[in-house]
Amino acid sequence: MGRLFWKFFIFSWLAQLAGIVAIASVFWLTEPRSDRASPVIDAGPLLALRGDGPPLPPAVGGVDGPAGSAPPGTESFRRGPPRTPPLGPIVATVLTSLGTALALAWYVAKPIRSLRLAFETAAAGNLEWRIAPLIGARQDELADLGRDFDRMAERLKASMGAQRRLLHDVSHEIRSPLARVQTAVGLIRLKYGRAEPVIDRLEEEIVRIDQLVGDLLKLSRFEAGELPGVEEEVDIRDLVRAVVEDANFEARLSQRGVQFERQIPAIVSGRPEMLHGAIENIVRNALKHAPQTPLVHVDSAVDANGSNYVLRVLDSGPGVPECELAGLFTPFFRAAGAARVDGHGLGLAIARRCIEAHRGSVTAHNRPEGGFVVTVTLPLLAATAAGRVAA
Amino acid sequence: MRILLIDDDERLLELMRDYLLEEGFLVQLASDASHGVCEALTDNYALVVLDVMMPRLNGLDVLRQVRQRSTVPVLMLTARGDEVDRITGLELGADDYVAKPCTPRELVARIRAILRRTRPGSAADAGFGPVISGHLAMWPAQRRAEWQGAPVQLTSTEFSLLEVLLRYVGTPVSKNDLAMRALGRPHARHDRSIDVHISSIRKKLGTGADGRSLIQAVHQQGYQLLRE
Repeated sequence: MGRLFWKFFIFSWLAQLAGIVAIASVFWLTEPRSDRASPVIDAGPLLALRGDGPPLPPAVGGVDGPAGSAPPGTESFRRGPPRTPPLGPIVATVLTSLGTALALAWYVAKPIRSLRLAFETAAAGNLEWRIAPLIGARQDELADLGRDFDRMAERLKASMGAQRRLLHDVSHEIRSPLARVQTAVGLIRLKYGRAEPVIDRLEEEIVRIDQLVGDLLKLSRFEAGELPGVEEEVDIRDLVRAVVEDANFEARLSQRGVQFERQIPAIVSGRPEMLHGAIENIVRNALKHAPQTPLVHVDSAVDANGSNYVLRVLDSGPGVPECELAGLFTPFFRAAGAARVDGHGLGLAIARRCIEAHRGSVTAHNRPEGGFVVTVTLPLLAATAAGRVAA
Repeated sequence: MRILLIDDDERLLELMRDYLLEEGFLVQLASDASHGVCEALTDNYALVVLDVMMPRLNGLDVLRQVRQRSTVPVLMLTARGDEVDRITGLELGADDYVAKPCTPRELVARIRAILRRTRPGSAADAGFGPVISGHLAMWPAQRRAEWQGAPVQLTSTEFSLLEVLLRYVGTPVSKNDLAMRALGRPHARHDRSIDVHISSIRKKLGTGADGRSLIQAVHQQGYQLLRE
């Protein structure tokens, strides 16, 4: 049970106890004196009585009033030996009040708890969660709030679905004319000259549009939860090595390089193609945005509690202004300094989707010593995590 | 060399026809499913190029119907990045795939790769007797295979893969070698084509005397055909 439950429970119980005690003392004090051979009273009710007991008559100063008037406490203590308290009724009342307080607290805290859970689930991207089944036939403001949440989630889901479908359909539709243009350009090349630089340029641009469309489709598929391939045990060290090898091969053309240091053996559960693509995007991004960096470093580690694989891609380029860091993983984002860098701003967004689909996370920071670092965290398979701790 | 193109984008078909004509192929076009299936089953074509992601007609259905009665080589055009269609297509017996949109040069290269290995008599050892290992016998020149004395219907890619494995019987052959020799292209990372083709061959051959499949996967190396 949450904190709200306990707060509600304790306050309502205390309030009930206080009320019971107050009422009990009123009864006790208004009893006829003859019945009270041995009054038992502690300071509590008297103090309470003195504080807020309205029937306290003004004739207190030693004058024995008629039955029903309250004598000063000091006097009553002196009269006779103490009477045993009525234990049975006291326990019963306390238990009843405890029960009522628990029920009340639960009644209020439970729907709020389900609401919170629903909001959390929605914030994490799952809009399938509905509260109505948990509420049942309840009719009050909290129940209404729950139903409002359901309506909101429904609307959100519909509009996100529509957006995704639009993105998907548009991308798909662009591909048909693109295929025709590509074939037509091929035909031009065949008929009018194979070595025409303008034709090369045309083909390059077509490939670029095709990549953009492909990336858009990929992103919309990932967001819809359609993931390619099957989940299997992936030797992540081999996978990163392969990415680095490829990137290195290309980087060498511009006298640069990618270096994989601290190659820790690790197994994660994942879809190799997706993981490969994600890490490749991050490494390529580092090469692209830090053109003066002679060497991009990649290193790996296992985090402090041994359950996550941590991969870092470090460059010594200009980094990204702090205020723009948050937008780095959104589609089509371009940092202020990156206007002339080739690419369309989907690589990191796709990478993040991929890693998140593998229950991991991606973060980016400027390094204090200059340069930029992107950190990928992926949960290790239980077996390897345990193995590493043992080792 | 006659080629059949099946796609529901007629304007694209015309452009592709012009291109392939320039490259020296004879081309027939089909833009609806039933026409495509009929033409593909006529035995007039050395190769069928089939778009499996046509919105208006189901390319995979066309492929299924063609494969029920014919082993004509089929090259499928799949959407780039759509692995499900690609795997399903290969399982249904397509010989290879090209991701669309592709440059026509790429398409022609892939067409030639398939034709090179399916053209009868084009094999280096045309006219020579069968290659035999245990109960498996293959006649590369006629592209005919027998398993335990009974003929096996293999698609041209399956035949080429099995032939490569048979020539290296008892030794593992890497996926890259298999791709180069049987598909005429290097093996791409995360490409499951070879695995899908091998799995179909296994199904067609059944198991050996000891209940094991004749083709064994060798971890991180590739596949090998067991010597009986």
